[in-house]
Amino acid sequence: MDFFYKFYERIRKYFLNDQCYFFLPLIKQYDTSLTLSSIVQNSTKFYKFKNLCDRVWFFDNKKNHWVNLANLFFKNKNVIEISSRDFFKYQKITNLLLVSLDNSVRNKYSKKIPNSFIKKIDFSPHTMRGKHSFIKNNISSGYMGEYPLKMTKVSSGNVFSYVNMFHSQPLKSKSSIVFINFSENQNMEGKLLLVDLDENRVIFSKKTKSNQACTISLENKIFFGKKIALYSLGHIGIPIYINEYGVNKKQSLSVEHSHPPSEYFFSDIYKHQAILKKNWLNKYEKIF
Amino acid sequence: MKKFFNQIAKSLIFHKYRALSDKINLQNVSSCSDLFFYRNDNFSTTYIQENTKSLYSSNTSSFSITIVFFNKGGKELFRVKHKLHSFDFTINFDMYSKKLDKYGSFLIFTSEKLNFIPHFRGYVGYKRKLDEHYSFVHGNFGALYVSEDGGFQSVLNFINNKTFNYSPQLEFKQTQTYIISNPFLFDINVTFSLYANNNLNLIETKTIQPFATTFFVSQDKLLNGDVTAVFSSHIPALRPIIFDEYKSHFDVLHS
Repeated sequence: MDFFYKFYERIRKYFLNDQCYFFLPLIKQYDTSLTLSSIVQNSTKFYKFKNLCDRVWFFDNKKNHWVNLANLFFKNKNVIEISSRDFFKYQKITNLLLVSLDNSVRNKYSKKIPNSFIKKIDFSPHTMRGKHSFIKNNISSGYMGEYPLKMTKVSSGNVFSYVNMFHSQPLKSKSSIVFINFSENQNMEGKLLLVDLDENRVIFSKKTKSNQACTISLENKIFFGKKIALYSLGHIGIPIYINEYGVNKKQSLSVEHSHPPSEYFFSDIYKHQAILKKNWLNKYEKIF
Repeated sequence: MKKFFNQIAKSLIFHKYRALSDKINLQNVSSCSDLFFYRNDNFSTTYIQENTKSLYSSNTSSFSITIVFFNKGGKELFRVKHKLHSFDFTINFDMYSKKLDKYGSFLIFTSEKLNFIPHFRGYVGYKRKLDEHYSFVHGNFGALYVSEDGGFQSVLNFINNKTFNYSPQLEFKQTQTYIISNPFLFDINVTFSLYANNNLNLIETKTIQPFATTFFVSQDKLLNGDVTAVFSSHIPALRPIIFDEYKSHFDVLHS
């Protein structure tokens, strides 16, 4: 059985490439946490891994390699929650930690993006997920997600995301976008832009770097009644939309990611995704 | 060449698990919809519909959508039509609150055939009725389409008789409600268990009729701490929506 599973693992890694990572932003605006489980998410048999550990890494820009900061073993636990507060002192060096699952502690440093164990025991459809939460004043909101290995292999690229999740939120709320990027191409620089599509103008622009989070925080009234889109030029990544509302004792947070453009299409996904991005880049490239 | 081998490997590996990898013949399909979930109890629901066709072309275009509402038992309640003129369209379900059940499911179909974009994506926002702030999920339960005879058909061709265990990757808390709507045209049996102290503790088994919506909760105070929920059914990856409610705030996420 072990032989067949290892054989299957090799085939799957080659063909399907479904390894993934998780992340823990170290940003000023919010505390963050990441919850991972040792139980297989979807399988025909209920199964819990006993020798798993969460490996926390950051990318050292100066030395050009990944550094392992901590290894948290599940032992007999079902669930481990990692908090950004435990890594607060690293905020001066980085604003984004990468978390990989592994079944042993192999190396302290890695030239390439670290390996990630795939928590799978059979062929059931499965994407590993973790709960990524953002916290402020003890109020937390999160979403289940991951950062696919496939995305780290794209050396450069662009993202277009239409910003519509803030439209229904109160005028007095505050909206933030946290853009997460991990890349094997380690020294890339790019730009994150918010564009008013009606007025043809850039309303916010910020530089991005490989393996770093980029945060934009704005009053929600900026988005109200406007057609606004987020562009990332140079880096692909995951934009996370956060809306924060607080009046007197009523406080709340909403966190969600947008649909990846690949989910818009049922066939020729990469072709149509490229057309979508090209249409939007061509239309506004003069103002970038 | 790699693409060719990739497809062969996928079809070999996944052929027993086709329920999630099968795609419908799009030539015969008008449009697809996720089965979404609304609340009309102490919560309000809003829905953001993206005009994916416009987003694809980067030019606004107009078309109409039909929303089909179901009650919690899966019975169709009513249909409404709306016109879209922009890249997105927000519909607050408070205007239908008298006609809606306390909670239930809904489908959204578009008016035109869109070939490679049969799925107009959307986000559902929930807020407590007295609050102003929504919490959003992009949640869905499978997908359905309208067949040529006008009935609903499931995109997922269910062919499996294996039991799958789906375990949301977070700690179970008594403040959480797990919600499942049935996007299939047949009843599904779902067993809800809690894994604690190396034991799988059966909480309840429920039969969910097509389009019906069911809540799963546990108030067992002994099952607290390092506990994980497990949902067993014949559906691969039956992902519940989770409401985590506190006095001062709540959160909602798609597991």
